[in-house]
Amino acid sequence: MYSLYVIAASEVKTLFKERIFFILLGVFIFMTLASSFIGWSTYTTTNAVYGASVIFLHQHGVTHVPANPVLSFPVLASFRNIIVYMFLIGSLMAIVVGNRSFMRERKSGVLQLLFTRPVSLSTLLLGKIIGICFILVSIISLTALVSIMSSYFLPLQHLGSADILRLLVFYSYSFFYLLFFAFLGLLFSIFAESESLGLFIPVCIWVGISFVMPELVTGQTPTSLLNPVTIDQILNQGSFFSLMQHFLTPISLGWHYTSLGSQLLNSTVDTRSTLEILLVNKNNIIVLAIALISSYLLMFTALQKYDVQNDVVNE
Amino acid sequence: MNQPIISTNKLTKKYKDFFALQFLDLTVHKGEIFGFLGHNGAGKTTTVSLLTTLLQPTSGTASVCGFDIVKESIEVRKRIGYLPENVKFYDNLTAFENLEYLAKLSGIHDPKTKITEVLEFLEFTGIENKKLGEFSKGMRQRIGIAQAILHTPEVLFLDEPTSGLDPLGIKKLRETIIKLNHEKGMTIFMNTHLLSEVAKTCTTIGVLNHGKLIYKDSLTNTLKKFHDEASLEEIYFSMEKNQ
Amino acid sequence: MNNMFQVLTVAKKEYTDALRNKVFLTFLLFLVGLTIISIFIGSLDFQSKVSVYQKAYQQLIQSGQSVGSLTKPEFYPLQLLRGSIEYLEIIGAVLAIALGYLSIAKEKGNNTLQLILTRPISRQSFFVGKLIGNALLLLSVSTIVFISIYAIVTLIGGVQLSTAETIKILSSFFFSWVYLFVFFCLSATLALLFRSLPNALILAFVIWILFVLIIPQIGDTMDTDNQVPGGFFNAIHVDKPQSKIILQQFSGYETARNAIEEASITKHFERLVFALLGINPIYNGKSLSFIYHDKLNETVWLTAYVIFFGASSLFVFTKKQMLWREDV
Repeated sequence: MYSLYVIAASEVKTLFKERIFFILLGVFIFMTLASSFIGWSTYTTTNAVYGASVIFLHQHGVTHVPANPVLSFPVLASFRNIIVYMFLIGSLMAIVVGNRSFMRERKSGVLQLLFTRPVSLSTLLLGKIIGICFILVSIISLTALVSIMSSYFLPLQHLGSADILRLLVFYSYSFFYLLFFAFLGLLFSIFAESESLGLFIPVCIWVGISFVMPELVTGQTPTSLLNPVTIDQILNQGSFFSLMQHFLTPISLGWHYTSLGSQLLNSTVDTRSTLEILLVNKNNIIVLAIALISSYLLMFTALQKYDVQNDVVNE
Repeated sequence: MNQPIISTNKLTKKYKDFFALQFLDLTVHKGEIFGFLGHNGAGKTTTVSLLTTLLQPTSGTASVCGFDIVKESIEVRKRIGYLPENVKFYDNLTAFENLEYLAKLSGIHDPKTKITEVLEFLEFTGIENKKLGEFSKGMRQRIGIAQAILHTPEVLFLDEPTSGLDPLGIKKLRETIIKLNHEKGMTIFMNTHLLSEVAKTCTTIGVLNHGKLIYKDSLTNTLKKFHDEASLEEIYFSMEKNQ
Repeated sequence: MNNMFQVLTVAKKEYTDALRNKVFLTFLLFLVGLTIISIFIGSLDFQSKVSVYQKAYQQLIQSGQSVGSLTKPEFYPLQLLRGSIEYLEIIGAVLAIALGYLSIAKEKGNNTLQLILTRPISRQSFFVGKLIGNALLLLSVSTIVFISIYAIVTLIGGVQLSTAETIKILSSFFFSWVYLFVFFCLSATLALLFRSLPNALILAFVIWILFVLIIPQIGDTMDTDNQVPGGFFNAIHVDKPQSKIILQQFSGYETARNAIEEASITKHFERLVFALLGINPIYNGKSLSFIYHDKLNETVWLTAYVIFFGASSLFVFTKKQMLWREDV
């Protein structure tokens, strides 16, 4: 137990000494703030555009103008850009956190000392994972806090307790999503023959999960999947896509994340409760859990096969 | 043997508040095998880095083969060979490919003949198509020397060349250095800790202590001067002690 | 003469090194594979739109209703390349970042600079050699991607491309190369500036995410029309020309939105290439001179980016004392 604590604490302390981590965190927090501001700015401008449209249409003889579709959107919808930033920067941060964890020790050669201590491989791995979890929880908590606090400084954006709960559920789900990428980073840092490969391979996988699979499922181009408004609406109905949806949707983690995130943050009007949304998407959550467990088992296997004596890490 | 081939005038290198080298006045003559001694962190590698134009001095001047190390660095590099401590290569390339690339950068348009000639001179053939990543430390050192002499330099700089070598490797290296000096007329500037090798190889020695040159003379004069001390090791320690 | 020989030696080595590098080859394979997949998916997507149109047409005919409200899907072959271009923007940029990083990392990490910089080759010449070698490499990458595209559309798809369309594809190919080269120079500059190479790589990725993915996305997110699925103006029955008139009152907001997008090189590249390939339907059938004239802003931005980053990387390499004692 004590070893677990020592390894986890060392993990946290070492990462918190790295400047690059704080640069990434700074960018992430800035984007969270920007997300709130952009959401508010877009919301108020769109309402103003509606008002101007009504006047324009009246001037051109149109008597009946449909209701403002945006007005009915819940406050949480203004925060939906955070889905994209978590999906993009959050995943990259998680890969970096996981990658640094083992690569740092491989490069320094200190593993020869660690592996001759009375600490089992499972303890070593678990200790690192606990440390990584602590780091990710800190990042996400900070992000959640910034989101919630920013809502109090922006007019018309005050979140009620139900909204805050929904936001916290979203961030909790985000934690597990990011944890998967941290696991990927850690996994490849164990056996990649170079530092760059240890980063590039998880990035490749991330691109595959985030862009390629959703494209195969929806038939949409990569960047259109970055719009949280329409993410849930764009399933293509052709026979190829039906086939792809049948096989790939269950494992398309990126698609699940953006879709569930969009539902939780009420990108459009949605009267379902948080629990209902989670239950409807329970398969997605189960798939993420399976992915996490599988990657843990792969990491453990990789660690068992790791040859500390003959390890060489290139740049 | 009277012409100075390396000459420094108050050569200094400072990093923030730390003097790696202080006002070095040093002369090495053509044809010498100069052994540069000093404790860890004395400034030996800094001296070699300055003379090989890898670093720029903070103040002072130096010339190698009559060319200023700062203003005429390209001319200097045409005439020197350098073997760094723990020499590194492109491990994914073969010995030949590494040497070919470095030879071309030295201006040799047809490196194949030259590489063959040098490897034969060093009695190190049959390994051309082996990847550098598979070489032992000793083998790497020999390829390191090969790359340093491809273009037949006038001065050869060796930084801790015996580091990590076994006794046989050290003996082979010594023989190579002497051969290069006698047969090719190369002036050798060698940083080293190994006093026994200095005694067997060098014609002149210099001792650096905390960035300052505290002694320089021929080996013969040194042994005569310190006749009370039995070996070069004891002479060296007594010099350091007096500082 | 000797200088040129040395520069070409370095360039040749850069080229051959990349061809032996697993990271580079993996990304190249990835990029070409995705390009092919996305054209395939684009064509399937078009087929399904045609199928939906035909079904709706039949239903309206059978129910005796007018088919006037239906929009017939029109086939412009170059529009199938949208996904490929987007993958070039995303994966191509990562490939170029990988090259830039590796080009510097292999020297810094191996400490081979000590052997190279004690050779009679100036720092400028050495780095120019690297730039030339990698520029040729990226040219090869663009060539492979565009040949794949051309082959699939013409040979497999059986589509006949006109001379004008072929020239537009060649123009897009050229600008793709420029776009990739910018990312190469950016990544190389960071690898030169940072003491820790992994940190340089991470920062390159952060910049990639920000400028390739997030900033263009912000512009789309702030678009009033994108607030509602199916379009905001469509939801309140305002047509396109009317929406433009209304939005003139919000020029400040639109300017801010546009300014954010202008910060992204990817957006400039995308606007230019989408115009050239007719992916932006406004430019369908328009001449090359018209497109270049209309997209002069984008061409200028791309040129400025490549000059700035190319010069920066050369400047940093020649000025910085990038050696084992002071840097690594």
